[in-house]
Amino acid sequence: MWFYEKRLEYPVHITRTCPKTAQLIISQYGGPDGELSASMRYLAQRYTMPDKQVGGLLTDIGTEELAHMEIICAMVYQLTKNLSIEQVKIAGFDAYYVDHTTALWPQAACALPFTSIEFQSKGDAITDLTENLAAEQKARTVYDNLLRMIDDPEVRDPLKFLRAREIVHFQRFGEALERTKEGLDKKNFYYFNPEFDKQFLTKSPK
Amino acid sequence: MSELAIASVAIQAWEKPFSPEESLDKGTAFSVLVKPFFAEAGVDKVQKKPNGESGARLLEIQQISFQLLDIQMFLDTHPGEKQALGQKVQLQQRRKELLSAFAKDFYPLTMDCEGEEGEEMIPWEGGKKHVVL
Repeated sequence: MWFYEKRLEYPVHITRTCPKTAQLIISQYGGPDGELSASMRYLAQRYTMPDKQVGGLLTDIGTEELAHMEIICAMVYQLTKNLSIEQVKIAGFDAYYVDHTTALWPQAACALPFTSIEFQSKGDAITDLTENLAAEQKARTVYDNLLRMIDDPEVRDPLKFLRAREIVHFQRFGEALERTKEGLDKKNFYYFNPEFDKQFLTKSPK
Repeated sequence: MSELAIASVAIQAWEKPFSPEESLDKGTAFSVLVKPFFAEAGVDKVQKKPNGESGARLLEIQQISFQLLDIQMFLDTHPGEKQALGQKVQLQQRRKELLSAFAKDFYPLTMDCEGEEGEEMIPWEGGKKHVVL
């Protein structure tokens, strides 16, 4: 169950129209390492997690990623809402404009549509948590790349916030992996699948 | 202890969190997790300019709510940590008061808030436009 709260997690006030910047940051909406992908990954993985505390973490991070998706969408929206047709043509936003005008549609910077092929829900706690550690690093690198290229302080400010969250999430997934390891055989973490072969767990799932 | 052939991350110890204002600015409540990128520097810091009284009050809700979220996330991997639980209770209380006062003076942000629907700031408009929803 989810409820909406009528506010952004972090304020976005962008006053300068820039379709080029919108086209870059839209990748964090629907791109391979974007916030939508992150949210769907964690919210899909949580059902079968053997440690209920880790399931709760996946719910909380998956929910926060939805709020991040909203921040990115607000940024794209504010960067393009007062767009003139001349700006569309000179800034290379024209192909997107033809298909979506200035509406929001989840795609990568390279126009690849959003797809679940870009994330996994593998059904093995070690595998999935290791995927999540990598996912947070990939998203951080995207924010690093954006911060190198974008000069507008009003755009950089929320990007810095979003980048900082990737690092916090990495830390929490690392701690979740440590918790999960506690229920496994220290000499061989790979003797069984903790999400499927539950009879082998040395610590009952919380 | 780190083991062979599997990833390891050190467990974070509890520390006194930043103020809610600083937490939202830094993107974390915890100083040990502040790890900026070199290209973040060199551009003037954006002063958060809330739109009027309702904007300022909304910013306070964003700050308290973010602090609460980050401490809850700490508790997800540190269940029962007493100092974190103490902080959580205080923040929950403060958030409740702020949401309730905001609903009374402006409009309800959630379905749990009492108050009349009216002129609202659309979340994605950057706090600049009020409309009747």
